[in-house]
Amino acid sequence: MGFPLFYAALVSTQNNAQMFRLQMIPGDSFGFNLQTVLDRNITRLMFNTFAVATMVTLGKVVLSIFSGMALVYFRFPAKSLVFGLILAALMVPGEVTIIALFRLVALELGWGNTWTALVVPAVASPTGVFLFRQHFASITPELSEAAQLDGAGPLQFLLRVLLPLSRNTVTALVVIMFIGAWNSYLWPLLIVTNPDFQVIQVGLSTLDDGVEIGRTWGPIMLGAVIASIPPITVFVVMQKQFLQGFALTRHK
Amino acid sequence: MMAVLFTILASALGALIVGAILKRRGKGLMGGMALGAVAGLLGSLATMVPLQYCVLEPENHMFFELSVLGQTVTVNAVALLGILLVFVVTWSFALAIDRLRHQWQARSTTVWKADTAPGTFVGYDFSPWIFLAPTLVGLAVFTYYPAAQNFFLGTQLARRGVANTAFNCLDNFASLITSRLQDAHYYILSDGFIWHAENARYLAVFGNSVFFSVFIVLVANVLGLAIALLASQKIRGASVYRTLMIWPYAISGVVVGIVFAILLGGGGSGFLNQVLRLFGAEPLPFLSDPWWARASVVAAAAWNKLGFNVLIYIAALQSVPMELMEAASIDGANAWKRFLNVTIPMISPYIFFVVFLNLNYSFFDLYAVIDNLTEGGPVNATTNLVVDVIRVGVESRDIGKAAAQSIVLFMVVVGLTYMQFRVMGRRVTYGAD
Repeated sequence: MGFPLFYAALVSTQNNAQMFRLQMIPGDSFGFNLQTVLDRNITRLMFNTFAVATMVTLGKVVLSIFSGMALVYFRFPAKSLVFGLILAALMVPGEVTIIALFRLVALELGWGNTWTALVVPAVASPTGVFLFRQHFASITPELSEAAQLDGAGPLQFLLRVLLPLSRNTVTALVVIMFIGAWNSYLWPLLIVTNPDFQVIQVGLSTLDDGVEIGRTWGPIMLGAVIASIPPITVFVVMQKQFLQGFALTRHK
Repeated sequence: MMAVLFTILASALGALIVGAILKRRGKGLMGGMALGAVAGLLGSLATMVPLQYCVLEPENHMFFELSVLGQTVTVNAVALLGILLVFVVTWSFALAIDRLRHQWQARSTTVWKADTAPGTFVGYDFSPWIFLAPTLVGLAVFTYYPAAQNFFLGTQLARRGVANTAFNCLDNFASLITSRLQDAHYYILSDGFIWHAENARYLAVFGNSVFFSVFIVLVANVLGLAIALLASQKIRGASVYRTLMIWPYAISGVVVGIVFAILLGGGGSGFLNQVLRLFGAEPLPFLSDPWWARASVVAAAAWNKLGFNVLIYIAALQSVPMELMEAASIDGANAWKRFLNVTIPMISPYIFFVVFLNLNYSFFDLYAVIDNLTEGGPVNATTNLVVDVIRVGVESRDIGKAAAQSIVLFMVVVGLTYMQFRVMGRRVTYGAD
């Protein structure tokens, strides 16, 4: 299972000649490849991606918690309609609306080449709302009744009771959303053309040294390995909570 | 005048068809005809008023040729799509009205229970709306509005980066089944073919999407289940083992595409071809032959999803009660029969869950893999629905046609969701967890 990325790591230490010779031991070009990706400003790409992914994840988690809470702990007219609207959005993959969204954001809102365009359209998360709604609904209502008897308002209840009980769900959502945001490709590819605002996934193919004819694979593979370190780390470290939280989504 | 005739015709046909169907089901003919007439009226108005009855105008035409049993006819795609549209919308109206009527009848006989909703906060009328506002506004602006825009843009001549648009009827949709350059030709039961199409580019793209979905789901699930069966045999070091299995889930489609490109590609210089050459075999055209290229996309995508599937299947296998397996053994079932008659039915909810996740992935999330592995080539052989939307809308700047294609994507979503509810609704009672 690990072989493709292992091979990518191997190639990241080689030059094209060594790679095409099928050399299965590390080559001598790691320094050159590293210098190339640094010249191509991989630090900027990584920083941009980190900033955008963090903002998107944070926004999604906070908004989802609030919405999930509204759907479980309050009574208001048209509640089932609101939940239905959110469920409907959950069913529709972003690719279905991407052309109209592109036109809206680039042309009507004029957000092309900004982080706003990468962050704002992504923060409303039907998946997150659904996840938290299911999670809160599975918590016994006696807790919130007790909290109310003790005179706690909704915000106090959220901070003191709900959040400590929701650690696994929050972690699961953080993992899903962070990996998703880190790995997103199509949207930044369309909306960002200025390399200063670009993210790593789109930038990978520009990590060529630009000298040799054809692609120099060493720097690109090094970039691919570097770009994969954050999501894999997040995933492996938080794996257990992720799986526990993820189990929730099965009980639709 | 034509418009009035069209509406009357739609109502009359609706009345005939729905009336006949309900009569067959042993319900009243008159009620069915009334329902059909209303649905036909609403269906034709709801579709044709926004379209300004443009499909009736003779200057709106795009033709393709259709051969049925050797007889060739030229079909106006605009008119055909217009009629199909009215039919589908009328059908939906009929179903919706019927459903509403049933609910109305049920409502009058059952007493509604008061919704006590335990645990809700009392006396906060505005709070829920404040909590929900950011999400609802975000969804309205960035999901619902673009979704609605698709339907508007689909009927427009719209260019990327240009604010103005011009109405062009159903041309964007019609151009998906016809071809401007050479006549698109469809053969049904003729010329030795059961079904065959020529110059039907979008149909081929649709076919690629279906091909990817079927084979990614097959490979990732059969392999996933097989590995899970092997992995659940031994317990020692299970968590390490699991981590090693599942981490490809965290890798982006871009990296998957790029890494598989050096494994498979490069004009015979890719890793796999070098290995083949070491063994004295001829290099294989992994990325330059249409079928090999499609297989390569399937391999890359299946690799990406495999670990996750294995993980879910391990959890599924652990949920099968030991007593059942033992009872089956006592009854003389061998391992294969136990697998087929006990394990598979017991884990079927998990199978459907994984299959639908993988289906969604392979229909909608392959862009990064394809763009970095084959770039849709050779000659569109690996261009799927999403890749084509981007190619038409962004690269060729034809937003109108891309919006029309997005609506086709939307239909796929609706179809998959419907299937999911049907299958899940029927099967989920096997007792997951």
